[in-house]
Amino acid sequence: MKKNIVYPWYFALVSVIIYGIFSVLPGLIGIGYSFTDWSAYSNELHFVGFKNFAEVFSGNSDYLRYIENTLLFTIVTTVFKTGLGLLFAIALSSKIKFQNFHRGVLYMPSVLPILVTGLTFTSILNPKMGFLNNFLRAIGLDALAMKWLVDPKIAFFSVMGVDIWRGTGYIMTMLIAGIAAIPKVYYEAGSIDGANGWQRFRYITLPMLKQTIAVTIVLNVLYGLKVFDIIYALTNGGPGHRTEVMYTAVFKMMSKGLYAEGTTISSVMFIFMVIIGFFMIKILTKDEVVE
Amino acid sequence: MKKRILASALSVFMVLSLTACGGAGAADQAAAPAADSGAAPAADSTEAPADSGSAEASGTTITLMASQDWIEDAEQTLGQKFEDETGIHVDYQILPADQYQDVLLTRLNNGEGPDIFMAQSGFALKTTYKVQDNAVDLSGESWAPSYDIFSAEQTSVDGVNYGMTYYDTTTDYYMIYNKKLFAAAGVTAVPKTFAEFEDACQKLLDSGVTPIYEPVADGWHQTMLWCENGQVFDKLEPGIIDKLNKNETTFAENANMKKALEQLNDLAQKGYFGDNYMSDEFANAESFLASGEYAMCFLKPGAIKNIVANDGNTAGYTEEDFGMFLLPLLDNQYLNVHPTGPSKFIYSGSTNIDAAKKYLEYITTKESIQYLIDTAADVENVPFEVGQTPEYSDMTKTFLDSYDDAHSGMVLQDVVTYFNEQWMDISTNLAAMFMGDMTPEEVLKAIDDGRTQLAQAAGDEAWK
Repeated sequence: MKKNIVYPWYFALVSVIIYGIFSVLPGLIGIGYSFTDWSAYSNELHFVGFKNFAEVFSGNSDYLRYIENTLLFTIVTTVFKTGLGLLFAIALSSKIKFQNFHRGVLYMPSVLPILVTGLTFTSILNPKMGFLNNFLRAIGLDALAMKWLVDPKIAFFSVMGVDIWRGTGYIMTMLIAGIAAIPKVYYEAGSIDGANGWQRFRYITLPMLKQTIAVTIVLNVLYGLKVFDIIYALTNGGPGHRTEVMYTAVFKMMSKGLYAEGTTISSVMFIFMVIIGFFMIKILTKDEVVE
Repeated sequence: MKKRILASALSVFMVLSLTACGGAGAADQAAAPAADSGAAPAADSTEAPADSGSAEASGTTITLMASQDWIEDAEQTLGQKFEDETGIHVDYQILPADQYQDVLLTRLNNGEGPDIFMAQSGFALKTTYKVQDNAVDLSGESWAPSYDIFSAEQTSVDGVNYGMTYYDTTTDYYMIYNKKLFAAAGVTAVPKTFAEFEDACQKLLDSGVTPIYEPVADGWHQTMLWCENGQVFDKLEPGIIDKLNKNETTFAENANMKKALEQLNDLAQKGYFGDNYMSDEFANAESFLASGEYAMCFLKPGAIKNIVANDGNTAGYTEEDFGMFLLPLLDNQYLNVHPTGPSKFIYSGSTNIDAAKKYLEYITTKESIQYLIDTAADVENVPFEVGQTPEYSDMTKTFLDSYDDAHSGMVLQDVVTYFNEQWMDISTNLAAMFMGDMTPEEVLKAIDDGRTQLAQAAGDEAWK
């Protein structure tokens, strides 16, 4: 069978039609509405040009800060989830005792509902009565007992920390699957040639895992850009507006009935995602052999 | 090459679908907390009869969505009795206060409201909650004649009553204080000016007691401190409210409002709220006052009974050990009057309108109202006249009687348009002000911007 065969286009027709009607079309309509004054307060709809976009990018609004927060969240969580996920994947791919138990424990946070995670950590991280600070005080580390979710300097990092804790296991599992797919003969050949552990990782594991890592990065980046629930559950954008991101802003606009403003922010996110998605796909397919 | 084009095209489709989620998706996400809190949309959780108007109600479930602290335990007990008598189950969906309004409005705006929803009465009913579209006309219900006329005004739109305030609006929030802690700190008289109030706070702080329990975490209480002194603005500058509603002036250009915010901020900066106020929750207010760790909190008078009965009251405080006074921002000595409050509305899209009406009828009988007053310690009366016996303490009576009409005024959120809708945003901005992220001017400017946004969206002539 030839490797470069792509199935005939009509095989995908039904999926593309359903996808187009229920996903692409509403997206395009949403972009269209961002040029109007659509709201819950009036039945009339007027074209307002780029007024809503100007509001988003005006120096007076908070949206630029929300964009910054969204990007910071995306970068930090992607780096840590991928890095830690890779570390755990390698550790748990070697022969250690209770390997599956360890894998299960690390994967467990990923299957918990985000709201449960949020409520649990809100309680754990309470500065006065929370488990973490009580524990730190009990072992004499009072200086480390902080106002995790309400100190403006660290609240966003606490949120990112909880999200990294929650998401690392999932990335680890994907990478374990990737490592398991690497043929053992490469490692055997490396050992015969005298390669040490680092060299086997650097010249065999990492290159062979490149595609899997790329996929996990794409997933993490898209998740980060559209993050909503973990922030909603932990801080609801607070304290003040310190942990506000784009989709919490969309949610608040929509709930106020200011639909046009909400869809405008969504459209801005669309542009971000297209640009980032485009470059990521380019990088992803850079080394592929085109047959 | 084809493969690369295909991959690129798929990636664009993928992000497009995420953009679509930004609109409709937000609504899905909004519904999630409600669903997780044991709730489900009315249509799912209800064994809807073919004709809700005439079918047997037994076996029906009605959903009642409320913010935290809006439903007394006693009302839930009444709900159980109601179920025993009628077979109609009431599913109470209680949401965290800082998320409630967003979730409710998203559900209403998407046509997925619960059978009964709760909202603060007042101006926002028409513009934000659109009860004229989203709620059922309750003007002709059997309880309507006994419903307090001032409360009915606040739950009405264009002369039609859509709601029912089943909440103690006969008293308001005042500064509840511990007399023993005041005396121990050397505070001999109730403060009547802001300078005296700060002096009292400092003395309390010096004596090792945190002066004020201010629960900022819930995202609503801090705004009370400012708005429930709003009556003083009109007294100091007669006509200001009218001008605000006609868009002839703004909050940002009002020196008194700015000064009141600066005073409020001063309390936070001087440590009078303690060092944990950003995480403090309203639900713990009574226990912290009972423990004597804090000397004051802005609460309703009925809370005193709960404080005394709290397990944390190891010092053996009695009701006589607590008192109340007006928070003297801007040296305010005008009593705050607040006939609006959390009110119940029957969703117009409900399939259980008759069952929901039966519930409202049930909880407003003389027996039910008396049960609520007798059982819920912080409810001294409700705005109905069915022959019930209110439970005002002598202290509350004396306090209220000491202010005549000339020394009373409606709170800010009841008289200024496009304001109450922003309550949670204002609370967030006040928290930002306490942290130093916003100045009092910026908080006021944000209120003006929010009012403009809402008024223009509503097509208000004054903002055109």
